[in-house]
Amino acid sequence: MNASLIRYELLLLWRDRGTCTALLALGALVVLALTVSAVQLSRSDAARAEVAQAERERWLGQGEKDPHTAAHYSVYAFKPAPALAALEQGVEPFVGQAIWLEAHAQNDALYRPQVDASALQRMARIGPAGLIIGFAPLVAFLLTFATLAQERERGTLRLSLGTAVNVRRIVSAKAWACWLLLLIVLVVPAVVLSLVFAGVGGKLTGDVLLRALMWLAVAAVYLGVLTALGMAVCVRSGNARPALTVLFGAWIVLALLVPRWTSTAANSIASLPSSQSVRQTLTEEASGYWSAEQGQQQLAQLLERHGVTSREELPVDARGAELDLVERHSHQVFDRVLGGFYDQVIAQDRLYAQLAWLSPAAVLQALSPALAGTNFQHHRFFIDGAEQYRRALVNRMNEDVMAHPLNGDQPRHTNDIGLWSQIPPFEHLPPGLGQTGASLSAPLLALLVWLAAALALLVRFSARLKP
Amino acid sequence: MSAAKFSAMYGWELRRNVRSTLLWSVLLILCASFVFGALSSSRLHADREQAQQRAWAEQQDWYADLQRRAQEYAQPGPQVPYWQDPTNVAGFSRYFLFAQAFKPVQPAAPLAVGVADLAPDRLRVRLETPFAVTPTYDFEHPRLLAVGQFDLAFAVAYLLPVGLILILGLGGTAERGNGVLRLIASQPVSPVRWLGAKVAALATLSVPGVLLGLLLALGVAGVPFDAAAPQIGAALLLVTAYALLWLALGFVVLSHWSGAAGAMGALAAIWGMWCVGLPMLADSVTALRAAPQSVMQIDALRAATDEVDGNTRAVIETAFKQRDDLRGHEEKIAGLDYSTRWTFLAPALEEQLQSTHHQHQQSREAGARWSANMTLLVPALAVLSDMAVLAGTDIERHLRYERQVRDYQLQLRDAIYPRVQQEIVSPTPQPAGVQGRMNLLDYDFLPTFQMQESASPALAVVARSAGLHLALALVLMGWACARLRWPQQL
Repeated sequence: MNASLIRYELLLLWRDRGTCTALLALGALVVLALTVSAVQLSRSDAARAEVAQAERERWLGQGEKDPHTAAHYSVYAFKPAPALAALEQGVEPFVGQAIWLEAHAQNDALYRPQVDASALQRMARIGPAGLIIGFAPLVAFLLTFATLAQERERGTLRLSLGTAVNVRRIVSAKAWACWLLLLIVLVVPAVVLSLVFAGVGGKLTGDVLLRALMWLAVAAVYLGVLTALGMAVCVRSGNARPALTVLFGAWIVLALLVPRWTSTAANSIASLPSSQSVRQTLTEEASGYWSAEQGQQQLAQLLERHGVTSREELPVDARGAELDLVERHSHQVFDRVLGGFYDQVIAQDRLYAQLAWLSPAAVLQALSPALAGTNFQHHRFFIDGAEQYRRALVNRMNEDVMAHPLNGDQPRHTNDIGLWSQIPPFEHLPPGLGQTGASLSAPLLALLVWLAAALALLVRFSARLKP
Repeated sequence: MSAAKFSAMYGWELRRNVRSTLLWSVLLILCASFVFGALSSSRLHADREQAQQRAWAEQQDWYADLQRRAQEYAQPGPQVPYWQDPTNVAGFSRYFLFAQAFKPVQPAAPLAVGVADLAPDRLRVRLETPFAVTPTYDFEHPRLLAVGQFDLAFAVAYLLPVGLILILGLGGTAERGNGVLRLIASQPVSPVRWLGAKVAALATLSVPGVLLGLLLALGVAGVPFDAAAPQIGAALLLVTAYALLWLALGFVVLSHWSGAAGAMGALAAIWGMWCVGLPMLADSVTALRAAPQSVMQIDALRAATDEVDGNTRAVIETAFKQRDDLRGHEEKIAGLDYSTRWTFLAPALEEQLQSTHHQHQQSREAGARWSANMTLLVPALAVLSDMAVLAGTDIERHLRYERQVRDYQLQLRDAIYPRVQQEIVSPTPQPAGVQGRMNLLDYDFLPTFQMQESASPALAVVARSAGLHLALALVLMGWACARLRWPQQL
């Protein structure tokens, strides 16, 4: 590698007004998207924190009441935006940000940021990572075209190659220059800015820094694949027109067609059961309300469990015990039905990552949200964390009802802030990279295979290059 | 030497393009994309229709079970608690009412996914839900939503121009690339006629090819051509105008006599500006403005519920005093069950939430209006929006659906609440010794939901965009023709 040669190639590229304008325009869009995204996320985080605080105050200040009624009143759990969500939105705009943790039900996460989006908002919802994944190929191919194919058309390439001691060094310097320019204009500012925004939001941790650095490395490899592919095509083509056709076609296929196609295909191959059927199963197997007949069966079960023959003989409160019985039964149903459903969602992501081998852009579509902590696997931690919190809260309330047997006609047992304050505030702890890293191996391998293949092509074609 | 006629040049170009592998390859890829897009949206709509049918069957089963239980509870036995008793009108109103509102899938739905992947088309209507609509939804894989749907509208709005760019950029600059343009320019032929013949020949093959691809895609996706004829006709017009706009843009770019790289670079830049840059900039304008945060609705709802709960007695007393039939019966308030109390509290809760709800609705409608305005500047957005309207998957139809769901909730309240409240002052006598309360014996009085569709003809939907695109195409062509000269240096 010759630094002065690379500097020279960088200078030549910088002087190519058309190509550099396209690169800078894309860089500017990346920064704009990142800033807008960061501002929106910071606002929604502030709103969530405010409502979460109000919820906590409402929970503590709900006054004296029946603990099971308190479990129905309950609280909402809010999900703070992941630290790198401004860089890679991932699924965040399409998953609920709040869950009502009421008794008897594992509710869906609601209030999805994009739920009310207009056609314009859907069209414009392409974050910094989306811009880099979708449009860096076009700019990379333009750069490689400008540095090789156009030079060949002008005749300046022949001159360079004719005077070069080593032809590969010329090609290598051109490739390094293209890659560096892409990296410096598109990726580095995006990563640095997203770390700054994470720091301002108080979310900059070691894990976040590691994720950002890995994201940078992966994006750098992606740009390397694109540069090598672009250079290989330009080196291989005898003149500019076929090179242009292949590069433009490659952008359409690799960046526009394949990522959406693989995503849609994964959804068709491993289709998910409909929400309607999932909800119907939950209603049938774990309804929050039960009939008089079911109530009698539950009471019989309790009497048998405690070895007594009448409600009045029960050592615990019959209503509380019945509520607890139903609640714990529902946990098994939720784990099986909803847990199974979410497993299927994650399995479909894995299938997508396998199909993504078809295009480096699709590979990055799978990797980028996984690294930024914005894929469904990370969202699942929020769903599961909130559900565990809900179960602990409801179980504690039911235990308190059970512990005060009133199996006659007395008024219901009540409790107050002494009990409510035993429930700590909900806090979502996003998983570390180590907890989710296993899912990264397949797409990382795919990206490295793409890099190796692209470099191999470039080396092979460069060897044939003659002045 | 006589000047070559347009028809002769056009015929020659046409014959040449018929043999063009590039042209047919691009058209084939576009056609395949249309078919894949139509099939994927058709699959989504079919899933939704099946879910609606299952939900309707579930509702029928539910009421059949209620009838069975009502018969059982008409037998002697211990009294069933009101919340377990479907023959108790108060208990029914809160615990047994199963009313749903379906947004029907339209015949031309495979044209676009629109908001169908985000917005629900099946809402369970409960009497006490403020303003009827909850933020529930049918789960679509969020990755699919994040990567974007590969539907027919995407293929038309994004991929069609890219295909045309490839055809124009390579097919329209062949003479420039191989040096023949110098020879042509030396002949007694007008550049307008020559370039016009080239682009017209490309248009003659590519536009019908694209339209045939669209029809094929709709056919494969199972669109009923008779039922959806107006929508299909309008879609064909829309796509024709959009394709002609891109061909006109291609004419303008080619009129600068740049090579393939320059022409494709310029067209790709316009594509990038229209499909990505401009929408992002337009959205940033609204995104940076402080809009109401959706989670604040939770705060408002919880605070209003607390407020109403804390003043239950006062709220119900006020309602009693305002009603001729209830005035003077205030002593019965303390004995009212939870469901009956809610017949008074639900409207009071809505009153508390009115301003938040109004603010939220205004924000959504403002977003939809801004998007509609931006269709004037962003042709791809106009195509996406209009195809969604033709498919019946646009945001405006969804907002209409929500308004009708709200009306339906009010109809249900009108049907049920008076019956519940009548029991306060003149309770239905209960047959001695039976298990059920027996003041509600059939459910046929409940209204059902039927969505009323907008009467706008399909052609009117696309008239603005298609007209604008055609007009813009003509202006661009006219402008390019007026300044078109052979290049000074070749």
